[in-house]
Amino acid sequence: MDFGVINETDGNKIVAAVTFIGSFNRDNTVANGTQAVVGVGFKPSYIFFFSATSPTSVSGTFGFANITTGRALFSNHVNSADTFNLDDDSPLRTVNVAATTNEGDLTSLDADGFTITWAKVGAPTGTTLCRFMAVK
Amino acid sequence: MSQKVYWDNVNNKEVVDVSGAKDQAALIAEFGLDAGTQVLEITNPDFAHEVVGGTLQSFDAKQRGIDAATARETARAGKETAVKAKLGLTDQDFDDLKEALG
Repeated sequence: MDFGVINETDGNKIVAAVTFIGSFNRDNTVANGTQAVVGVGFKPSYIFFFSATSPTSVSGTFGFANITTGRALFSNHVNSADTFNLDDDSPLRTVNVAATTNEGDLTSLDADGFTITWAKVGAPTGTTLCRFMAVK
Repeated sequence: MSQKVYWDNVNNKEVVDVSGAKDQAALIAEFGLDAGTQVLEITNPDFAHEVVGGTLQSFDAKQRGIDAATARETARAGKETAVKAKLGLTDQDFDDLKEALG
C-alpha cells in the first residue's frame, strides 16, 4: 500500500509513503531473544505498533520507533489500577502480571522487515499480540 | 494472508514471515537458525502461536480471550451467590448493598 497525492498539472502520482500493515505475536513465557519479522517487502524507516495480551487482560501498548528511539504508551493497570504509563525506550511493553514486564526494542531495520529484541523482567505469562505498520 | 513462524529454541531466535511466501531453507540459512528449528504456518488471523513444553503450536487467541472472560464472569457470579446465601440477602438487598458501598 502507498499513500500519495496527484499532481493536478500533469496527473503524476507523487508517492509520499510506502507502508505495510501486518501482525505477529510473542509468547511471553519463552526466554529472552530476537524476533525477526520478514516479508514486509522493503526496508522500513520506522514502525508503529499496537499490542494487546492473550488471554484478555487490561494490558496493551501503543508505540512507535525508528532505529535510534522508541516510545510507548502502555497500560500499567495490574500495578496501579486505571493507569497508563510512558516508556521512553521501547515501543512495545507488556505489563499483564504485577511486577513483571516483557519489553520489545526495535534493534534493526532489515532489507525485508525489522527485528525486535525481547527482554523480560520477572515471569510474565500469556502472549503479546502485536499489530504494526511499517513505513518506508 | 498466512504467515510462517520459525522457532529456534537453541539460540532463542524467532523469525516471523508475514508474507508466508519466503523460501524456508533460505530463511534458516540467512538467520543462522539451528537445524532443529520448528516451523509453523498460521492461516487464520484469529490464531497466534506459543511454545508449550518446547513445542511450537498455534491457538485461537480470540476464543481464548472469550473463554477467559467467561471464566471471570462465572467466578464473579459464584462469589455473589455465596455472599447472598451467607448473609441471607435478596437480589434487591445485594444491589442496595453494592450501591451503598459505592
